[in-house]
Amino acid sequence: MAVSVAPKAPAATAKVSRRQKRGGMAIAERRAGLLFVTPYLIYFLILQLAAIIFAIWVSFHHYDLLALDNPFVGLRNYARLTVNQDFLIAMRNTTEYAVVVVILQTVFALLLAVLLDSKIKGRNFFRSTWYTPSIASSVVISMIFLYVYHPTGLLNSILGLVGIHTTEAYLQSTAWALPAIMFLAIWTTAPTFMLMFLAALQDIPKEVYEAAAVDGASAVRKLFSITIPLLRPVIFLVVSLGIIGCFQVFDQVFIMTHGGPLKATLTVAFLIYQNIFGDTGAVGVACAEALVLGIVIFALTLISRRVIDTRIEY
Amino acid sequence: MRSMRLGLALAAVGSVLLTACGGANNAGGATSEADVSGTLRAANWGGNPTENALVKKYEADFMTKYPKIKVTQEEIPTNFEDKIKTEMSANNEPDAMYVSTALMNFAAPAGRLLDLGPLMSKWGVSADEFIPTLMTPWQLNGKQYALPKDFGDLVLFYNKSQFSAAGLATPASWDDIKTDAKALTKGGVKGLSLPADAARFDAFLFGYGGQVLSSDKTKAVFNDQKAQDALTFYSSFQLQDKSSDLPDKLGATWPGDAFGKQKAAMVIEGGWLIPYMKDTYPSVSYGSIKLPKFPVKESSLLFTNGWGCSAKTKNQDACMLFVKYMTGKVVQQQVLQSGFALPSRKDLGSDPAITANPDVKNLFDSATFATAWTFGPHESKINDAQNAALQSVLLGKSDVKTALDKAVADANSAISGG
Repeated sequence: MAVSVAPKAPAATAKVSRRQKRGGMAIAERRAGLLFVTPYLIYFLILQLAAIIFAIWVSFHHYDLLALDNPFVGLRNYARLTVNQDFLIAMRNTTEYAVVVVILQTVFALLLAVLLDSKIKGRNFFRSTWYTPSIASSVVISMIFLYVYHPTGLLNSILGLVGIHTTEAYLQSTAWALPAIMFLAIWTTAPTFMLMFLAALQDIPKEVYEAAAVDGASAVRKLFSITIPLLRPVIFLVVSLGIIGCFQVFDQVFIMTHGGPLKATLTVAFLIYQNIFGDTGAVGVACAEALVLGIVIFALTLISRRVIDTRIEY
Repeated sequence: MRSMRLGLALAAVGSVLLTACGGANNAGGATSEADVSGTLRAANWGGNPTENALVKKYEADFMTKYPKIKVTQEEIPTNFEDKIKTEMSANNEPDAMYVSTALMNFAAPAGRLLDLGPLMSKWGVSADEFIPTLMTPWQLNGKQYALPKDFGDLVLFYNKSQFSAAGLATPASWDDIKTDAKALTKGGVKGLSLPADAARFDAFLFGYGGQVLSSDKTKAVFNDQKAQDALTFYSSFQLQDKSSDLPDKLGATWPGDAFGKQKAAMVIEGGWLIPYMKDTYPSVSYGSIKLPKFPVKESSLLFTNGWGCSAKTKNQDACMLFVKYMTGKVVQQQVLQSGFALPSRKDLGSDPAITANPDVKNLFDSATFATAWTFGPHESKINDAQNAALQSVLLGKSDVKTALDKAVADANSAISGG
């Protein structure tokens, strides 16, 4: 509108016309911007936003993929979650998994990054080899680890070499199955986060370290008083990506244990899948579970932001 | 007046549409097999490359016999039922498909499978051609939703060399099996390997007169005295006699693997063990017996798959002819020779491939008293609950009664929550 009006206002002052001109450009820019995001916007609106709204709608119904009639049940699907043993077990397993994996993979990634940032020999070699696990898809890694964890597999063979002879079936043991999947997840994801830490480490001004060195600070002191505080924004990123990933853990469980043994590795994402495909008429329950999971992830991300991502003061 | 005329016109148009639809459904009302034409999408589980190649061959043979019908194979290598369920909910399912008991359990009650009854009589297929226990899994409210393409069931396999080394005769009763298992257990070898798997235990459950579901299928009942007795007996080999162990404790992935590695001298498995032993452990000499009579009755479990049609297929006649062919004598004879599964047809019972091989004969004969292993729409949750009970008893985490009571409560909550 402003564009078509502008030429008809010759009496306008220079200041006004400049502002109008600027306004016109902003609109053109906005249009171009909109044009550029359109493909993603369509994808987002149809495949994500619409899907989420549909899931919310489904969660208030007794819903089956093949039924013609899906009656409204109000909050029943949500109310039943509090007494649904499977959901409670899955929530507990997932939380346990997330706590262990997020903490260990963040610490591990930071240590790797600090190591690689120092001037050790063969840095490039370590950088590429350590990153390798992150390149392969989680499905492939899970298949490989089926052999590693097999009673007569790689892990037990290596233990045998150092004198520990066992045929422990890790994935069939209620005590070992979840830790086995945790280890696999840490091993796969830590290198990705290592890269993020590495990039952030390059951004820390050298002067800060030099000043600390002049003051006689030790390497450990520098790590805790300079490196870690200055990495806070990245630590927040890594922790929240970790939380999101961990609470959605599915592929490893699907391929390696199917939630067993005795539900020791039943996670919320896998339970949702089981309810949709393995049972009849439980799609509404699955959607309620998914929404609760989404809210939990959202809340935890907000909390971690409060705790970690405070303002940096040089 | 005007509205009446409009009504008449609408009725006329409606009736034309109805006849048109009716005509299409009957593929032009063909009455001879050679006149039936159409295109069929046929989905099979393709997880086993050899089986998949055989299905491809049978479909090619079918198209040679019926040149007017074109079949496109859609092989689904894994999670077969999930894929079909998704396709059905999008109204995009194949015309013909493998119907597993799991697929039957969710698709038939929702009206998504075609009732084959009328088409069977139209195209000359009789229910009497098949073993009766194999027809019931596909029946609901008097309708027949699939025809059995083959089956497997359970017998007891025993290691001949381990038996003769221990000076034992072929067992004939559960008492024999119990004594023999103890005698065969030494070093790293167990007499038996019974897994924490309802697909084995339920043979015992039924043999003791127990049931998984009440007769109206609305309640799980596998915690009564009979079920407790069955599980007490099943677990006694491992817990009291120490003559059995879980496959993974024997360094094996499944009982057949432990049997092949000669870590377990006896296992309860099906016909799939025969080609597996031939390919993987050809040097092991073994034999089989039908499962001996349990306290209440003879029992074994039937695992079967059928071919059926989508309720929405536009080529019902072509689809029925396809199902007829794929479950017919020509195809099933080849299935039998390939060693994958046993034929579901009575007329192949006297085939030399069965009569000449005592193990195959035991398997085929067990079908007469075996129970189809299928438990309705909440089957997977019910089996999860059963397996959890077996696991907690066999891992020593719980006693029989507590484990079964908890499992029944879990199963019932799934049945009522759905």
